[in-house]
Amino acid sequence: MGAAAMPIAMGASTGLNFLGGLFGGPKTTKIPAPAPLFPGTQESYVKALTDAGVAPAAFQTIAEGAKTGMPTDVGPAFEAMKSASQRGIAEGRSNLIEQFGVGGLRYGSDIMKAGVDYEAQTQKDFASILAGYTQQAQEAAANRRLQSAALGQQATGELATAFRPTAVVGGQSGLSQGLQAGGQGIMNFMMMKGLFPDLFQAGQTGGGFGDIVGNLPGSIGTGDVFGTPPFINPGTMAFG
Amino acid sequence: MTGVETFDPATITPEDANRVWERVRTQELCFDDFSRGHAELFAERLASPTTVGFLYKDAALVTVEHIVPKLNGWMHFFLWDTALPEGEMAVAGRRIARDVIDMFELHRLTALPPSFNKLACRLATRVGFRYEGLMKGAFLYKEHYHDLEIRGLMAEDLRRLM
Repeated sequence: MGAAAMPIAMGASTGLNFLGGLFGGPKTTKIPAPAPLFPGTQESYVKALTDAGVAPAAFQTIAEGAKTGMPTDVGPAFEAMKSASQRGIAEGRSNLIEQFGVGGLRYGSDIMKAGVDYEAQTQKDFASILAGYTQQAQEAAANRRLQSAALGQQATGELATAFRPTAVVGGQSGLSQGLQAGGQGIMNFMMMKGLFPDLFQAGQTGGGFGDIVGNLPGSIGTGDVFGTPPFINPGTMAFG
Repeated sequence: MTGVETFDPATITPEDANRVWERVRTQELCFDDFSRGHAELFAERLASPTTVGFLYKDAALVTVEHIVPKLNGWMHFFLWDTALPEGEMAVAGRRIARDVIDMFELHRLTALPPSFNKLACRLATRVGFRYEGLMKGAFLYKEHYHDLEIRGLMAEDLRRLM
């Protein structure tokens, strides 16, 4: 944040170190406790997460995922066997399609006959196939929950744990750290608003961050924060 | 809803799953040349998180697929019991449509019956689907291209029907 501000800040820091060297060796200085950059946010950190429905997913999902690897209800040994066999089946069909696709016969009778023959060998138990796909769908859903939970906790966690600079400046002046923390705070504020729009409704009369964030590409305001709709290919479906 | 039960791939017994597939796979009109007889393709549709399925009296499977909440879902009928009265199936289909629309706050449902499948087109009409257009040659059935009718059932229209 603020490329022009950096040289000034670093110069001030160097000067302070030089003065410290003049007056002798190290001495113990009582450091005041850091003040939260956003005290209100820190106080309501967990509450806001809980109210918004993020906390259970963020805390529990990550902790659970770290401990257990996001298991589903299906037995791991059985599912390992199923996933291995399903992968082989998928590859077999792909090879089949590729083989006939090259010859321009993808939708001809030859591939259909070959396809049916191949399926006849593999589809003896529809329930197992269905169980395999259901398990994959559950795993995918678990991964989506984990990713969204991690995003929610990261965004709000950085905001709530942001502190004002203290006497410990670590090579940078209070001014520099303040500017950097302020910049990070603004970024976090924008992310926070996107995650918890309700928290920012009170007193919002327009013209502030609400309008800026709302018009950013990819934000909720432009409506594409959820991505594009799922691909639909109704041509292969039927209405019997 | 009498006679209707949810088809849940996560809880259905293996025996029931196999029985449904054995019924469905005989309905050739419900599949195009590429998907017909392919258990995996059908299982993938049922297991999708954007699909809900319903069984009606061991006579039909009704699915609503590619559901986008607050917007649309694609409705499919797999009817294997020819003795089931068409009107009864239409009433059950309409109730299923209402439940799914309420469940996901859908704005509409869409169906694509092949134009040569007169029973499917008639059933769609009786459920409440209106004709919205034609997809020329979009259905490959037994090595011939057929048209698909575009049928739409608006949520507000369904509420007036029920």
